[in-house]
Amino acid sequence: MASSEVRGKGTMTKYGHEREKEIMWDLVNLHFDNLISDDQVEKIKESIAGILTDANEIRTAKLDDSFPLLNWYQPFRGDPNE
Amino acid sequence: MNKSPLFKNIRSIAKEIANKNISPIEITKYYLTRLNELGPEYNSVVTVTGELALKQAEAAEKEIMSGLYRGTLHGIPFGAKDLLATDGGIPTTWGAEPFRHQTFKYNATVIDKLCSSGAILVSKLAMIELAGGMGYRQPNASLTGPCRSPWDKNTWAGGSSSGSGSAVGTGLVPFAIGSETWGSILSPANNCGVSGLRPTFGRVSRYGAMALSWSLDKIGPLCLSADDCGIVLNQIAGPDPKDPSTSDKPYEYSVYSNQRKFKLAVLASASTGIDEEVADNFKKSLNALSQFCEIEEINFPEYPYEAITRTIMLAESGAIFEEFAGNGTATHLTAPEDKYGPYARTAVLAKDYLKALRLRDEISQKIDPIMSKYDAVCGPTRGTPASKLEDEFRGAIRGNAKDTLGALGNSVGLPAISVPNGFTKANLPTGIQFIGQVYAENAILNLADRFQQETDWHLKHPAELLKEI
Repeated sequence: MASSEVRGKGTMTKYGHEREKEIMWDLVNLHFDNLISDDQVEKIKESIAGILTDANEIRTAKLDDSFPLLNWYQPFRGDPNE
Repeated sequence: MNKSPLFKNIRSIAKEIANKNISPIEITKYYLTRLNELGPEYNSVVTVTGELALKQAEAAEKEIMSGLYRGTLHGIPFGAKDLLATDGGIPTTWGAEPFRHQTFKYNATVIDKLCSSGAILVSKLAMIELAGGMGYRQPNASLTGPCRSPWDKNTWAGGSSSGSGSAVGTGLVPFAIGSETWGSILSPANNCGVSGLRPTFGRVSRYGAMALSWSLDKIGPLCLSADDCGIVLNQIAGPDPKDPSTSDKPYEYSVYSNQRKFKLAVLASASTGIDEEVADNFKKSLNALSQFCEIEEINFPEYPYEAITRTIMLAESGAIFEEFAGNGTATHLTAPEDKYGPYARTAVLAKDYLKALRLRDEISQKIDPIMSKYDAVCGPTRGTPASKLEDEFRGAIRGNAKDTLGALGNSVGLPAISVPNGFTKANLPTGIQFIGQVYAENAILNLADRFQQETDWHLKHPAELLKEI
């Protein structure tokens, strides 16, 4: 239900990070359940943790041009000499 | 053959061929023998393309004898990383068991460009399976086994262009082609004691090359010298309608006057956390460079460079290998960690990938003006010398040290060259890398060439490999 009241902060708590790891494991397991052997589970969870550590570094990095949300960003490497 | 071509640079071999002192057929047979004899010892070869090579050599010989000399690469044998498509029934295995028998009905553009210059394809060279994109953590991650460094068979050649580095360093080919998404040319150059060039993103067509990461993959040469890298780049660079990511900026390799002074920057944190002997060799290199360079220490703006590059690579490779991961083919890869490597990257969120791309764009805008003040920024190529074959490393890309220069350079597509700059007490080579401004390969090639005129590390070769077969 939409509300004018903001329910919480946009930043995740430590508990939130742990939950995200669990949710991502569920997602990976959902996709590849029949291909993952028991001895691979913990290693895949470690990889997920690494991906989320990177994600958190990216999420907390400040973009100079993050606002206003104008349509000037193009998702490819620009040519600096043109 | 009057003169042995072994460990001679491209210009000197070319001179002998042009003067008809070395025949293309003789030199091709010479390298085919070395490939067949020594290739298996180093696990550096996937396929020796003998039949094709001799056919190309006969054509080259006929042309040269009739006075048609195409240029510096005419009649010179080369090897190609086995992710470059080749026609004629020659397998292109991507270094991976599931693709052992894969063939294509066309050549990669880079192969066509080299063959049209008269160069002779003698071998498809070993590589880490799927260019290392599945997250390998030890050298035994290839259908041909762990590729060995020319300097010590018990140490790793580096990856993922392992065979390209090892084959040049063992004198199995005069030059080779490799590819880099993050570290895959520079790492084997470092571990094998050869020169390796990662061109600017978009400088060399990737048509016909296995894709690991569309916005990070680059193709470049591994050679015995920086000058050789320039000669090869001159032939393989340029726009290609079959690869829309190629730039239409013209490229011509040119050699600067020896009087020219260079402006060089050193990343302040370049030696932080690296092996002591690597740091020591780097320090000595800076002394040599100070003879013809103005050197300044710099810092780059603070960004999570490694996280950005890794996220882009994982997201793109996750999409590229979606079917491969989903149908269970990965379970047939060699390295245990590669068998499950493609799964976790499903956890990369689209918004994180897109923010990584936006950050990359912002980094480009900030880095380009910094880079434009210098001919190059330099640092040790890797924080450690070649690891033992049985050793695990923390991450596939860098081993056990942080890799700011590699992450930054690869994410924003800057060119870089690694050249040998000394040895450890265990007689393992170390390297120095020069990163340049986009499309400024000539600056880093000339700087590295000048460094090689002042030093002789690139002229040293393992004694047992100097014996003729």
